[in-house]
Amino acid sequence: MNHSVFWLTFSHHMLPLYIMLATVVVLLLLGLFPQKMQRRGWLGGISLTGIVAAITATIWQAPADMMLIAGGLFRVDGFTIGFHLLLLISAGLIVMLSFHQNQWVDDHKDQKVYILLILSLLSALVLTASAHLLVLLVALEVLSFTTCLVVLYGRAYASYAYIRRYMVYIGVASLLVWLGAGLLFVITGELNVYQMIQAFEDHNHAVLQDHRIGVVIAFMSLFTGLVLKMSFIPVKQWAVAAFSGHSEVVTAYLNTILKIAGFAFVFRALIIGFESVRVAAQEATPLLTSMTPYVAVITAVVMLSGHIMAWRQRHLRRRFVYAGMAQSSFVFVSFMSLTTLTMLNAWFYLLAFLLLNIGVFAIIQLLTTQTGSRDISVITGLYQRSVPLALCLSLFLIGFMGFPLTIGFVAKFNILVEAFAASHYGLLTVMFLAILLAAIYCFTMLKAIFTPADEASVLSIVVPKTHWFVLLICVLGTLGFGMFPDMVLDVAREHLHLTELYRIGR
Amino acid sequence: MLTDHILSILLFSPLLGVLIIGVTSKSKTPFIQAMNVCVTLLPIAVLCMIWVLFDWDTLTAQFTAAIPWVHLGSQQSGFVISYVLGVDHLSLLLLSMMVLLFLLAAVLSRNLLQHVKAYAMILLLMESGMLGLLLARGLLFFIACLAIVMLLMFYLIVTWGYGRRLTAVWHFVTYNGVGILLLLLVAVALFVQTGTLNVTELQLLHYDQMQSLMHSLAFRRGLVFVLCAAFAVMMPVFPFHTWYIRLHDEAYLPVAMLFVCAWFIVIPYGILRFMLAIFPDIFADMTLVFITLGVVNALFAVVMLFLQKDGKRIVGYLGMIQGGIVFISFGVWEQGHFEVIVSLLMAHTLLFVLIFLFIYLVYQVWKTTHMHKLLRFLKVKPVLFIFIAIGCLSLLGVPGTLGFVSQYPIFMTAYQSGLYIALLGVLALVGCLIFFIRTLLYATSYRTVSLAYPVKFSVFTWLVLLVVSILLIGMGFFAEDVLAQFHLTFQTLLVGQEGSS
Repeated sequence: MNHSVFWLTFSHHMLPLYIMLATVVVLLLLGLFPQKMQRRGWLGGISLTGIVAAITATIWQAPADMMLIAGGLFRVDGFTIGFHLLLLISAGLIVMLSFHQNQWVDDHKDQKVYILLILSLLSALVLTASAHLLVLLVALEVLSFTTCLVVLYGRAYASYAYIRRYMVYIGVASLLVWLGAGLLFVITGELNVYQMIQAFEDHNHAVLQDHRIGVVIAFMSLFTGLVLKMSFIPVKQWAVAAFSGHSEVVTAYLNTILKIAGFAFVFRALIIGFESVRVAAQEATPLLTSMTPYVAVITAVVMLSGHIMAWRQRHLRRRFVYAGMAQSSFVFVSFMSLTTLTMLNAWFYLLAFLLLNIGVFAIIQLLTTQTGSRDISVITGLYQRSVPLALCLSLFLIGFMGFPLTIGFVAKFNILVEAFAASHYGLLTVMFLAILLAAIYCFTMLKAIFTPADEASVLSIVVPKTHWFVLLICVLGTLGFGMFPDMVLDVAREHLHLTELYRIGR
Repeated sequence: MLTDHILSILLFSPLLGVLIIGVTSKSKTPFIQAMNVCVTLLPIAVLCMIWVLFDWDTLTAQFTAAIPWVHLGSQQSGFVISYVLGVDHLSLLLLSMMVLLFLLAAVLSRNLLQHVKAYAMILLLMESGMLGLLLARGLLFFIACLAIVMLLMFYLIVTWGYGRRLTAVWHFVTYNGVGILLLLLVAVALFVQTGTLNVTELQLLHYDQMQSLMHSLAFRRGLVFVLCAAFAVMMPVFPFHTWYIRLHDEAYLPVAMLFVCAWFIVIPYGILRFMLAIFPDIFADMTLVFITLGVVNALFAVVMLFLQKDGKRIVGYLGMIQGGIVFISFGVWEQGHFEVIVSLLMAHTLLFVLIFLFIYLVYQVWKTTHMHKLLRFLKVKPVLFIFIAIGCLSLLGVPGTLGFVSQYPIFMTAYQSGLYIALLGVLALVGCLIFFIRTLLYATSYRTVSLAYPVKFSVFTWLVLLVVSILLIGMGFFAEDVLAQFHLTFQTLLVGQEGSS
């Protein structure tokens, strides 16, 4: 079977992608029908059906071995399956939250927002299912473009200044990523990441030695661009204000999907970092090792500043966008450590992150839409309004802190162990500081939840069924995987071959 | 079958009460109060069974239960964290003290009026956590229990504390949070180097592989230093003591009593179990560090003692003096009878129960804990004077009391082995003596107070006062015999080394 001729030959391993594509098409076609069929129930129902079907397809059609499709344009391996699951699960949970969003955009924009969200999910899925730089970059651009459009649809209280700033930063990020990718192509003459590595080896690393400055610049600009794309740099609130300018669902969506997709890109594209290269006069070391100071400084800055900004914020959603930024940057530590555990730890950490993050945003959505306030004070006296909600929020907060018996603890402990094993002592200190900082504002909020509020403002909160379902999943995941982490780790070890990321195959 | 799971049953038995109270309606306050007391009897019953089944001649941990909890890396790599429980002579005695403390706290909390349901649930959860601390044979499980206890204490202080509880709770959380993070750091380092966090396995490793795994002495010294810092912050030791004093001030009285007594059992136990047992050689090198910390602590506290006007603060600084003496005893352990520490912990707990009970009784009547009010109360109930005097005599280490048996050998050993600096600790005790003579003289000089209504204590109160006093005096005479049982205890701590060397 010649892949290269019909590079879009139907391959059942790509089924999740086709399903999501079909979902987008159906959502588009819905525009032809009368207005009453474009209600949120229909749109959300179709999206959810598509996502559930895609999850089923991912599990059932998972190839036993790595698959190269369409002449190497697409690559479905254990890494792809693992990240597809993360992306689809978080998208599914968030779409479930969207059913009861009170103040969504105007009715006639509902369809567009759903299309954009599903389209960005599709591009994130493509991103994880490819090792070809062109496909990666196009998918990344589609992802950025759709998020920009979603942000543009934001309600009035994100001023256009923020949106403009967001676009500028995303544009700069794109330029950096393209520069890095272009440099790599020029140096190696290949577009497939794995063939680049092959090229390095074929020339016995001579290419790398001749162009070591080029490779270093390529790595740095790729990394910087991606960090920007994932909205990790907390300057001038560019991403935070833009994200929280929209409805809570969109904030949760951008905060989760963008991070997961971004990490997939980082792991896939920067695998060249694992190649040995002689940067200085000493013996050859993996490129990543010589880049460690650069990556480490960025990670440390993001971790600390994110937590400090989150601590200072009084806007509830912005606080959690900052917290999400700082929390998910722990994965970079795992990325740098270069041990055999890296992929499993990063995957598990992102799973913990998505469960906690979506759980928190589900509650924030209920609180802000039902009280009309976006201030942190809405959580004061939450236990008077709804005891289960108060307990759920406390659980997610202590999970974010990395408290024992929650999934956050296992995830953080794994990464701490890895960082120690790789002798990143400086980063280890920063991580401990970050945990302490997180504990400060989490404890403040824990205190607020159980502080009685003024009698006048106590209104009970109505929790729709879909929200209960999402919260149930998040709570079960947080506690269940926290107490019995082997439940999910064993499955991941046996059935998700995440380390296939490192496998060079033609 | 039963013996395999008896420790897990002990650990989770209070959770049964949490479940029962959880499904009870909030308005049934008397039922919840009664349930709270009844459920604390449950661990006592289980512990009685353990006492019966316990084999006193076995040195190693008994009834051990080990279940792999988290695997890191592949299943075969051996990097596994287990849920390990075990009990030996030392933990058995401390566990018995702990369950009795919780019974006492549950009974004393009967007068609580608000949020009774939540209070009862948190108290029972905390009992589980505290039992977990004493049952843990793995460092990570110990840390997990510490964190849980800290979180529950946070709620107990925030919700049921007195006036300035918010400052108190921030001090508490910050200091203990740092302590727990430092412990976590040690856990990570140990785990990376040895692949296990199980104390028994770490002890066995020590002579066989530790040298190669934990290559440098400096590395192990570093670990011990971090451990020492963590426990010193939590103990607490002089510059880090503010959280401890504030906690005395602001926590609801039964909670303060419970926590302070339990903490004083748990933290020294942690030091013995995770510092001494894993790094005995380095622990022995740290003689002077411990003695200096202890002496500074005791002397500082005794100076502060004279400046206090509030009964609760006085208890706090007395606690620091006792903590200092425990540190001194860690310093001289190699030369002396280490089982003395058991009696020291016991003396401290009994004494604190006594004083806290007294303060609690006064608070119930007069809603104040001011020193002069406390002393004036002695005129209302002169019989209390006897109990307080017994407590003071024991604190000062007068012969014939438990305090003498526990403190005399420490200073004796220090003198014999030439660690004269430890004798400065005696100065602190002399300071205490002066303080108490002064205060009690004040008390006798007050005019007799007559209240409009008679003050009556419950039978339970009298029982506790009586039992505590009898123990404080009786143990003074029979301690030699009782402690002889525990002479083995410290061999159990170090048994890993003896088994392999």
